[in-house]
Amino acid sequence: MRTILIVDDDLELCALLADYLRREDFEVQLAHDAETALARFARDQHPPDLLILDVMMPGKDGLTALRELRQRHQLPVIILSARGDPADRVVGLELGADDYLSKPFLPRELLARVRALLRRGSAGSDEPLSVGLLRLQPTERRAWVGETELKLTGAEYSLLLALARQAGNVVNKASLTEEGLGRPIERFDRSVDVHVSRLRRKLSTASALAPGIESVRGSGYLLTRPSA
Amino acid sequence: MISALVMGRIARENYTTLTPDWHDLASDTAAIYDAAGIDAVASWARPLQRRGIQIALLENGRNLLMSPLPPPMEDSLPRLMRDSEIILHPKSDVTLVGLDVVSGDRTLRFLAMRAPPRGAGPRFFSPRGQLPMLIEILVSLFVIGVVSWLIARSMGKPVEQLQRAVRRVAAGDLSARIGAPLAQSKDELGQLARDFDHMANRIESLVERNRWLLRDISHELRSPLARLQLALELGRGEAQSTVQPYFERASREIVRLDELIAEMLALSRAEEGAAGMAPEAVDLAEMARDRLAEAQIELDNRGLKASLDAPETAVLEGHSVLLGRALDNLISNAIKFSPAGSEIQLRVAALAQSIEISVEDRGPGVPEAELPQLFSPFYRGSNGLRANGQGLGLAIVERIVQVHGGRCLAANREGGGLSMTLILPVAAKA
Repeated sequence: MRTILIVDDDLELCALLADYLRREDFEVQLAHDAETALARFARDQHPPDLLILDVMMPGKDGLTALRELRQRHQLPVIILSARGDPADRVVGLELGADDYLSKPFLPRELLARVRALLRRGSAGSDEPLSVGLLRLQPTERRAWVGETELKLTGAEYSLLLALARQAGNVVNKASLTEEGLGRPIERFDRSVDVHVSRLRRKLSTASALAPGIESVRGSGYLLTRPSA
Repeated sequence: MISALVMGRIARENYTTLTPDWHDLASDTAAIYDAAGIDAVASWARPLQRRGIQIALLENGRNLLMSPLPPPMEDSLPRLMRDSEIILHPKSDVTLVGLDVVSGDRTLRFLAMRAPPRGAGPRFFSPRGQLPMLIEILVSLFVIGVVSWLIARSMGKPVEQLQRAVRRVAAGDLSARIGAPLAQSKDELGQLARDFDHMANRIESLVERNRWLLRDISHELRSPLARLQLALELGRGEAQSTVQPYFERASREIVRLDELIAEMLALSRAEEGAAGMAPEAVDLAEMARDRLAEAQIELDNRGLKASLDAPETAVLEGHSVLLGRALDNLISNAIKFSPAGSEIQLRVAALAQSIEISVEDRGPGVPEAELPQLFSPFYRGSNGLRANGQGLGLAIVERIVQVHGGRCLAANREGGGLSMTLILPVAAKA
């Protein structure tokens, strides 16, 4: 059974959400502030499979907690926010969240995204893949540029894999959203753009010779094949 | 200073133009003395003095007027007493007169002196011509000019400083203050600077508070909606199939309520304008291409086509988040009302002073009478019934355009459909 940790200061919402997810056969743990949640990650040998994190909490807020968490853990994270501020979404994704939902959300939609993030990576071929200096090992969900291993979140890894499989070709944003985030694209959905810009940065930091990701206006992105 | 010069001028003018008849003056003085005594002579002498004439009346060498004789008269006294009638010019501009006058049965000695009024130096005095007057006017004008320049300069710098701060606040930089040293100076401009700083503090804190309030309202309204949505979903799982549609309906209403909150917050943000945000260069041509690309999925879903007619760039000073929102709302509306298979036309035109963006659809249009109300909040035209929006979309558009100093036009197209045009000035609104 997959374990989900919910971190939200809204106790009633936590209780309802836990009921809902348990009914869908998930094991649910609760924490009501960021410190408690981070302490649990530090202590537990078996971290949860997925984290649902509220942005606005007293004490340490969700985004700060996410930044700290990402230094050690790459588990899928879904950000929840009731502020309805579009900047929250971008910041959350920038900090390494895999997906973002604003409150109030449709419970079925949350469920679909949880399942998509947990299922990710199980599809497709498991053959190792390389584009120039970039190497991907799908069975372990790990990636390297030369000898440097890239520290990627789940969503970033999936996007990179999708782009690498069709290196040199444009992959449109709709299918990148499907493959990277495991859900259909929405109108004004900039999630993929944010993930891609993080991915670009990580690639170029690893090596100046790493393959680049180009954006093609109105259609999508492509991973450039080295000309040599 | 200037009036002193002018008065001196007038006094000297009088002096040069009026030459008294000494005999008349002497007999008048004697007659007054005879009729009313020495006190009357003293009052008679005072106005004469103002004209530069001093008189004295002596009886047997004794001064009847108790005031001492003026020095030039005193110095020349022996000569003045010598003849029965004598006129002396000890200096070119001083005249001394000595006359015998008869008052009743006595013979008195009348003395008079005429000299330039005190304070006006003899150097400036010349009875000869108009040239010195011209010099005086030029000097006066020069002095006036220098003084005005000094005053203008002492006012001009602080005023310029005030103006800069006012413009920065108007341009959205609410942190602009005048501060020391101007705000510490004690004059009226210093007071104005302090008042301005005070006002800017207040505006900044109000805007800041308003922004927090918007976030809090959003949070406080949406948290219970999120719980409600979950509770409904849990209930729905337990419910019989006959009540499923009601759960479905309730869930949809929550979504609508959430959209309404989002729209009202957006309107409120637009109303707040771009307060606190400095305008930036926004390329509307690029924005139109981006937004249309974003809408492609929805266009495809609805089986609609879209065309864009835009120059390479169309840049204005503005707020990209707000303008993007306005454009999104127009595109959404066009998609909402377009019949399947029809085409939406987007045009961006860069004119000299403004940029025009129009979005045109082939939907049902709006009855002419209702066009003016189209931008009112919560207004739904008779044609808008099938729209499931909250009626705030166009109000938001209008507000954003107003914040940018522009205007919106709505018109029905020939051949059916609605045409919405935004006219935005290129330069940021001051």
